[in-house]
This record gives sequence, C-alpha cells and structure tokens, in this order.
Amino acid sequence: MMDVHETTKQAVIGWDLSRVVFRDLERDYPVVERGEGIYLYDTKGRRYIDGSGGSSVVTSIGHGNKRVAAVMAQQAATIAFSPAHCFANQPHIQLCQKIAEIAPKGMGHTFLLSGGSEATENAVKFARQYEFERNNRGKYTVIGRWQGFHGNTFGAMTVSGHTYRRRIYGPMLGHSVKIPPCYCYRCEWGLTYGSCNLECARALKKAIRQEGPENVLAFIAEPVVGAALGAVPAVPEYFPMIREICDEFDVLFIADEVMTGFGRTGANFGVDHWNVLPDIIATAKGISGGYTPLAAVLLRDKIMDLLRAHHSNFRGGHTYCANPLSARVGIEVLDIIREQDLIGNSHRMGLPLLEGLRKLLDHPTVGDVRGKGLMAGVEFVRNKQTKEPFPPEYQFGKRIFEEAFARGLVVFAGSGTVDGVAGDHILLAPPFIITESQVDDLLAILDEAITAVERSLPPELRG
Amino acid sequence: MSAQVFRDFKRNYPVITRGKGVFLYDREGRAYLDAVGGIAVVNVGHGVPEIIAAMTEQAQRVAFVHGGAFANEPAMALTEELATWTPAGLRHVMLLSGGSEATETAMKLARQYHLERGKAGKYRIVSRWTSYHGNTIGALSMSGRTAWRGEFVPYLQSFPKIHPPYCYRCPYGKTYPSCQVACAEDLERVIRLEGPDSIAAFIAEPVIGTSAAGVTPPPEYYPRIREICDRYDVLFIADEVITGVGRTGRNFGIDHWGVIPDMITTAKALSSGYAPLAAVILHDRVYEAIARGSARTTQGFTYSGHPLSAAVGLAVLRYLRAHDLVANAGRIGRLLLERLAALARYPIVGDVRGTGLILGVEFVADQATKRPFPPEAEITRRIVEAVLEEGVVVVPGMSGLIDSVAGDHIQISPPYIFSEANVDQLVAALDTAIQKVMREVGTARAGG
Repeated sequence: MMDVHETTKQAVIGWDLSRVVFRDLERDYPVVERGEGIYLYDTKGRRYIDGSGGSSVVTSIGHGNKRVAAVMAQQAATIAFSPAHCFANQPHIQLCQKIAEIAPKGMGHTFLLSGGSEATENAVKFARQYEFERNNRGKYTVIGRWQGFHGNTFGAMTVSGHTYRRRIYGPMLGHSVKIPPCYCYRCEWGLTYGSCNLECARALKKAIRQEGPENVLAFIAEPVVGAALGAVPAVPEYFPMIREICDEFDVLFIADEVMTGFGRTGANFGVDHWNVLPDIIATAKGISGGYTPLAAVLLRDKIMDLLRAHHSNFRGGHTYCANPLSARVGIEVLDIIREQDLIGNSHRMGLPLLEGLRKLLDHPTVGDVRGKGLMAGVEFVRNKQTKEPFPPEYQFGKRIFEEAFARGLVVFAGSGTVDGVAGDHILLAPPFIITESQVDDLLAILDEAITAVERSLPPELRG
Repeated sequence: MSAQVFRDFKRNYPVITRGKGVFLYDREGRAYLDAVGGIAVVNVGHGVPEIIAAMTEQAQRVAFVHGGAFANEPAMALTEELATWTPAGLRHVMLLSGGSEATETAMKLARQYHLERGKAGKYRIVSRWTSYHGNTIGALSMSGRTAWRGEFVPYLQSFPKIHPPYCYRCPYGKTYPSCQVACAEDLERVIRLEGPDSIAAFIAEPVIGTSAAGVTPPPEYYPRIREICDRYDVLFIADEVITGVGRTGRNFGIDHWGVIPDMITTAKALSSGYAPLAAVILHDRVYEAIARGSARTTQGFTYSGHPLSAAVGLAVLRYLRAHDLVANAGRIGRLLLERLAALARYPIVGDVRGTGLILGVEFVADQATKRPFPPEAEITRRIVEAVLEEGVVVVPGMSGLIDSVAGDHIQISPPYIFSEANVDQLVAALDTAIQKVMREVGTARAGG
C-alpha cells in the first residue's frame, strides 16, 4: 500500500476543506486501515469504537465481515452490472423479496437505489406520479418538519428542515412547507407531554388546510429524528394521529427510514414502534451495512396496483438502481441480521445504552438524553434550568466529537438543535453486534470526553 | 407478482445470471453481446479478476468509513490517480456514488464559488435542451429531457436552456460551417437576456448521451463556449458522467476540443460498474476560492469517499492504463462509426454519429426530408428488440429527441475491450434488425 505521508494532500476533498489544506494530515485526519466488528483501526494501529455506525448510522452488522466480502467477490466474478433496460437479475429479485418479508404488511414492493437522497427523491416522485395518475394533478407540495433531514440533493434538501445544509442554496430550493418536530424537550408550544393535546401533530392539519389539501401531496418525517436533532423519537400518539390526518386529507405519508430502517431502533422499521402503516418508506444505510451504496423505496400495494393498472412506467431511477452486486450484498447483510437476531440485539443493547446515557445527566452540560434501540442522542446545554444553548461559534458538539475521538470513540456531532443555528447534540449509533461490555466502554469514554470539554470551558460559558 | 419494481411495468425481463468480457448470459444459457456496456458503464468488461481481487481485499480491510471523521487510503490513492487523467488545473476531487450526486454537487459548488467571491446573485445554471444531467430534482432541473421532467415540473427550477449543437437537425436550419456555430452564440444571447448577474454556470455533455446519443459539436463549439463563460464570469461544467474516463477515446470528452472546464463531473466508467462511484473534479481556481473563503462545504453524502468503491475505481483506472484501453476505445470507435455509416444504405437510417465508443443511430421515415416516424410506430423499441433477438444488447435512445414527441434513435456504448470481431457481430445484428423492422412497418415498399 502507498505511503500516506507522500500523498498529494490536495487531491481529496473532505467536508472541512481546512483540514486538508491547512492542517497536518497525519495528526488531524487519521487514515483508517481496517475495521473489525465494532472497531476501526487507523494506520498507526490506534483503535476506535465505531459509536455512530461508520459515523452516520450505517454500520449494522459490523466491519470486516468475511461473509460479505466473500459473496461480493463471488457476485463480481459472476455479474456485477447488467443492462437494466432489458434484463432482470437474480440478486435484485431476491433482495426485493427479502425486504418484503420484513416490511410492514401491505408494503410488498421495492425499488432499489444507491443512497438515502436518491431514496427520498424517488419516494416523492412515486408519490407525485401516483397522485398524477389518480388525476390529483394539483397535489405536489410536500410538508416536512424543521430539523428533519432527508438528503443533500435539491429535491431532498427542499423537503428538509436542516438549516445549515439549506441556507446558502435558498434561491435554488423549491416550495415546501415545514411544521415543528415532535420534540418534547423543547416543545414549540411550551407545553408538557400528557397535557399538550399533541399540538405538534395537529400542526400538520393546520398546515394542510392553510396550503389547501388539493395542493398537498405528502408529509415526510423520520420516525426517530436523526442527524439534525439527535435521535428524538416521537411520543406514542404522534404517528397514529399523523396517519389519521393524512387519511382525512388524502395526503400520503412518507416515512424516511434512511437511518431507522432494518433494525436500528430495535424493530424492523421505525414506524413499527407506532404500529402505523406509511404509504411509502425511503430507506438506506443499514440495508447494506455500508459494504456498498444501497437504498430502497418501499411502496404500499395500493400505489403499485394503481401504477400497474395505468401502465404508468416509473420515471425515476438511476444508473445503479438494479445492479446485482449491491443487491447481493444486501441479501447477505439481511441474512446475517436475521440469523444472528441482530434486530433483537439492537433492542436489547439499546436498553443499557439509554440507561447509561441517563447517568450522564449528572453532568452540568448534559441537558437531555433520548433514543430508541441503538440510535441515541445527547443534547448539551449551557444552563440546565433555562436550557440555554452554548453559543454556536463555541462549537461545543464538535469539541465533544474531538475529545471522544482522541479517546478512541467515534460519535456524530450535530448542531442547530434549538433553532437551526444554536444547539449542540451528538448521535450514537453503534453496530447492532455491540455487546453489553462494549456499551460500557463506549459510555465510559463518552463520560470522560464530556468531563474534558467541561473542564476546558471558559468561565464565562459555565452555567 | 414480483416484489421488485421494474421501470417498465409491462415488460418481461430475461434474467441475467453471468457476464464475462463483453458477453452476458441469461438463466437459459443464452449469450448476449453487451454493446451498451451496461448503460455506458462497463469498460474493462465483465468478470475481470484484477478488479474483483482489489474489491475483495478492500472489503476484508474496511468497506466503509464516513468521510467526516477519517480519511482512507483507497480514496486518497484514487483521487491522486484521477488527477493524472484530467485536463491541466483540475486536480481536486470529491468522490460520490452516482452521476446525479455528481451534477448536483457541481451545481452547489458553483453557487458556493460565487457566494465566496461576494456574488450572491449568481445561482442559476444554464443548460441545453436534449440533454440529461441526472434524475434528482436539481439535476433534473438542468436536464433538457421533457419526457422525464413530465409531472415533476412543479418541483424544478426554471433554469434557462439553450439549443443543442445538433447539426443533423440544426435548430436554426443552418449548415456547418456557414452557420458560424450559432448554437454556441446562443449561450451569450441567453446570458445577456437573463442577466449575467444571476448566472452561475453553464453545464453540457461534451458528446451528448442518451438524449441524442453520440451527437458531437463542431471543433469551434467548446472554445467559443469557454470564451463566453469567461466574459460573463460563468463557470463551465463539463458533465462527463458518460464521456469521462476514456469513453470517447481521450481521457475526457472535452479533451477533443482542448478546452479546460471549471468542473468535471464523471461517474459510470470510473468504476466500470463494479461499484457505485462518481466524482466531481474542481479546477484550482474554484477550489482555491472556496478554500480561501469559508474553507467548508456542506457537500457530500453517506457514501462519499467509500473505501471499497474507491479501491474498485483505482483498480479500474490502473487496468485501463495497463491495457491501453482508452486508445482502444478510440480505435474501435472509429472503425465502428465507419461500419455504422454504411448502414445509411437503408432508407430508415437518417444519421450515424459518435466519438470513440459513444455512438448513436437515428432513424427516419424519409432520408431526404428527415421526417421522423410517428411515435406510435415505436421504431426505437422495435429496433432494440430485434437486435436483442440477434443476441446483441443496444440501448433505446430517449424518444422524442426532435421535439419531445417524435424522433427515434439507439445508443451504442460498448466496453472499451470491444474487438473487431465484436464490431462485426454488432453491425450484422443491427443490419438484420433494420431489415426486419423495415419489413414490419412496410418502409422498404413505401419508400418512406
């Protein structure tokens, strides 16, 4: 292998350009060499716990799984890519069948893609094409939620409420309506769950009426809000009420399960916790465990039946949407998840994880902890009584990330928790194969990292 | 009923079980010559051991890490290698997973580039009709493909479009070279009419892909486009998702014109279909404007810089070099173009065009007037299926290339390892198919 110190530092562009250009590559941007189970190893031999599933809720079955590598090689030697305009292929057919087996009942149809943004964009297209065929041609507005994240292509960004990723592209985004999220820690209405009358769900009804139901195509939401809010699950009554409101106004419900699909929350799909049937599910990450880019759109039977009856060929799709290699990887990952009861493990290990996180509430800066299964979040505040956040420029979340990273734990840091700009949280999403003692290790490192950041707080920022 | 959703809900798709070199085999053991390279994707051929070995080795080390926390060796090595393939000054690479991600990222970087330089009003992207830049909403906004925009128009940005450089059906009714490349001048007219203060970039496929397969602008076209872009501070994005990494017989399609774009998007050939992979390549001036400014970008997706995909890409680039396959794409492409041109002896063959191994054949009801067949005659579908019956795969070009409704053509984009014998087989199959379709629609007798 090449000597990393001799590489052209300018060739690779990461998110943070300054890392590549101005800082020392060796110190600041460790190079991953291999992964095994829940661990990643860099070229210096340092070990890291992958506490956020490959850093963005991807890794389900863990790293370096030999079975996946073996089937991948076998499939590549057989057929890696075949012309989808005139041929089908076996792995593609089989994977769609396997997905149908674990999908919510009545969602037996799957369209495969290569990433979460492709999935949410194509979900909206399926919705639009369905309503178009039903002669509801005015229905196009998609209602999303603030602090919802549905992807980084323009259609996906338009329906997202992720301020940091949206703001400089304002004039290039389309029309979309946003309602506040179901986020009890900072309830938009200043209410308390139990006596709140579910104002956050009722906000959908108001938005649909204001926009005009004849214009509203769909509502899109993450069952457990991921990147932009830090693993916030909705209260039990929320999605059943959302479903009712959607039905009342003939609005489709798209569940964005890019993060929550395939067992991340301890159930097959996130919506299963609420026993709600969406019309469309967009899902990605866990389906391939990161071994190859793979995503899927799951459709309710009524949508496919109508499109088929109308001979309305789907006008979405991308180059890699039927490639046999990615599908073969997906099959193996789903088999491993089933054989090793990893969804059960995700539920079982989620309990000590959340319990351990609750202990972190003793820290003066930990304002809230939450989660579902192996998707958990910690929100940081300057003052626990007032819930006042740290100034955004202090980059509190990023400091937690760096301190944890230095101690061998990778977490995903997010900001904008409060209002799109202020607020800091981290997202934890370890591989489903994590054990209880590994959960303890993760928690211990996180505890130390928080302590370290708190110790280095300048006096004027102390609560 | 199958759980799988195909794009065409009525068609019965044969199931492919195996591929080797330029051939695909279905479940019944039938062999097909892959004359489309998957879909302008496969270049080194199917089942190449060197690629599989690189893939397997990387899968066993680490298949995935997120670019937010770590670098990885394959991504670093691939970007460095790719930087040796590019036109001068294009050395900065962002890795992605597909063509739509690449063009959307280029679009966003164009916006960011102007913002960083204090030009907040420049965000609109000019493109061409009869073009395709991807199927996500931003990419589709730039795509001049009416049929696919269809019911999604309410979601699309109203970006300006200019006419394509489509000499066979010149939008101005002119003839090259007396036309003085009016189709390039159209860019200046549109920029001035729209107002240069709102225009961030112009995007074009150097050689047009599936929207009008193989259409290649004249030599003056891109140099003139470059001048116009420079005059109005508009970035030129070469969308090389199809033409990049050797398909045209040069490293990048734009190399045929000796023009340096500000950004290149590339995808398909970069991994030869062995893994979803794409890239945006930035010219120094674009990269440096951002690096000097905020030095941050919100670009990127879950699988940006995916180690496994990158290892595959690196193996493909090395294989292409080791076997001199880009040169072969040029050599076989010239032979294929010559052989296809001979098909113009059939009255339904209107135009044959292409550069390297991205070629197209356009069909007409009347060669003299170029009158198209009525869309309901489904000439494209008939040709593609008749060729398939002969055991050869070609891809239907987008229908309606003339006016969004009428116009028939096919795309031919074989792997770069195509041999002269493969060319013979392809041309013979096409010859037979054309004769069959002519009998079906009665063209031979009616004379158009």
